[in-house]
Amino acid sequence: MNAEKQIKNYLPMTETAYYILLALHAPLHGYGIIKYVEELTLGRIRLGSGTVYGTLSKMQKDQLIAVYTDAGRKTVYEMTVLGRRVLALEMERIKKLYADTVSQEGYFHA
Amino acid sequence: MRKRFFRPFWSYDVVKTEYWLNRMSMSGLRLNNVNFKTRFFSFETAAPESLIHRVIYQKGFGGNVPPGLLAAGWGSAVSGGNFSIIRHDAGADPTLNPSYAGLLVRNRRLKQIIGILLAVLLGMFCAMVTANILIIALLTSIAGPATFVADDGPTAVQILQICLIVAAVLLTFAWMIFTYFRLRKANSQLERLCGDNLNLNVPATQDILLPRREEKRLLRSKKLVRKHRRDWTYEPDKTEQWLEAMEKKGLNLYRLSPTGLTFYFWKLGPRRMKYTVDYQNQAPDAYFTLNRDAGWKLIYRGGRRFMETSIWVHEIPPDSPAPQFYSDAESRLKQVRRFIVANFLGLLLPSLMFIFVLCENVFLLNTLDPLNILSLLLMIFLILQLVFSLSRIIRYYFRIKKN
Repeated sequence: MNAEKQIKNYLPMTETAYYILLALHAPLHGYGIIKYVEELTLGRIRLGSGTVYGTLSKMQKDQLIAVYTDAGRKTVYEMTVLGRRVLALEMERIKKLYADTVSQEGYFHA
Repeated sequence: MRKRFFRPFWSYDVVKTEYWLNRMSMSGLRLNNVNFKTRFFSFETAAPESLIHRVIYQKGFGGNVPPGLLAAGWGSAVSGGNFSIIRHDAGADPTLNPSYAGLLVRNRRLKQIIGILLAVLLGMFCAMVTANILIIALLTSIAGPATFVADDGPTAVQILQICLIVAAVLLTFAWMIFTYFRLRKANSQLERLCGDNLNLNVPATQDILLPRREEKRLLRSKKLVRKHRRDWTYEPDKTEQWLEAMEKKGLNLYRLSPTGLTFYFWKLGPRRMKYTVDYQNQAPDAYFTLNRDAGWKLIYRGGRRFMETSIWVHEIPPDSPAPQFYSDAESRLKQVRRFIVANFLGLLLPSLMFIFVLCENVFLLNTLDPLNILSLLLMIFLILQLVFSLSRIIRYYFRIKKN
């Protein structure tokens, strides 16, 4: 169905898409997303505004996020139910990936 | 009791439709269902209540009202396909409101498509009419006016068929023109409602545009420098590098001419700036707000049609890497592909049409008169122009792909 198609499209997720969805656990403005990700990753990831705009537009078409305006008529983005589901699946995948990394790390130390 | 209303042009003025729904609920008719394909609005009688309605358009919506809006106090009235209608009590004041941006994007695309179709049809119609007039004039001058007496006149059925076809064509034409102008009016209204408090009419580095006299004086005293550059829109990365090199030489970009062919620079001193030349197909205001909030300044915005070109500039803070407009290689490549497709459509199709019409003219009359030679030369010039522009675009794509 539609949801399955999105899941196949978005898993595994690009780092950009993943961090954008992480930021959107609460509704945010576009620039708020960039600031949130920069603070969360301690400056490691500085999302470009062009990239964020393109990814947000694509996610909106794929129904992963919804758009509204707040009191000041600025655009606010929020995750939909489908978006949360896709993010949860990706987080599970990353957790498994991390567990395997930790368990196999020993083989790669000199 | 059910009541149905037919509103075929309800989407051309969404705000008017929303006010109509509000008035209906106040007079005791509650919106029950809407068939968006047949444009029928169904109401059932209920107690009069003061409701505020809003129409949302979001592609692939499936009518699921976002949880944020539901939590803020909105209730779903009707949903179907890409449209939804939500409502709330006039007394309540939700903290979040739906945005008109989705509808604006859809309307702009629709208007763009209709505009192109109208232009193409009008062009074909004019070409046909002129060609027919030329043929008739040529034949009458050679063979005399008697050439056009037919052996037996067209039958009544044939006349009727022709009339029906002409009527159908004229009706379609009229509907397209009506829709185009209604959409234009609706879009300017929606743009005002979308807000975002933008001021896009004065894009300049220092946020000031000098009066013409002042600019002429500065040009003469060499404090303002003019440079021409052709086809810079077909190689955005080279243009960015050129502008950054200019900054290092002490020439700071001030503005572009309205045609987009001349660049004006201040001669103030070297600066560390990062330039981005970007393309969007009718981006809503959120695009401009997002980039502005991220610290980019808009210097130039032009070339509406398929692709709107914008030049953005950002200061490079000392001891910091240059800010990136596209931080993700994949998103950058996707953007480049969109740019190529739109340029192919915008360049290739009209050029091919021109060349086709010229071909017809050249080979219709098989003599070597000056008009023919002129058409041939024009055709060759257009083809060369097209090939050069396309080759620049293709080389740009491969440069980006290598990185």
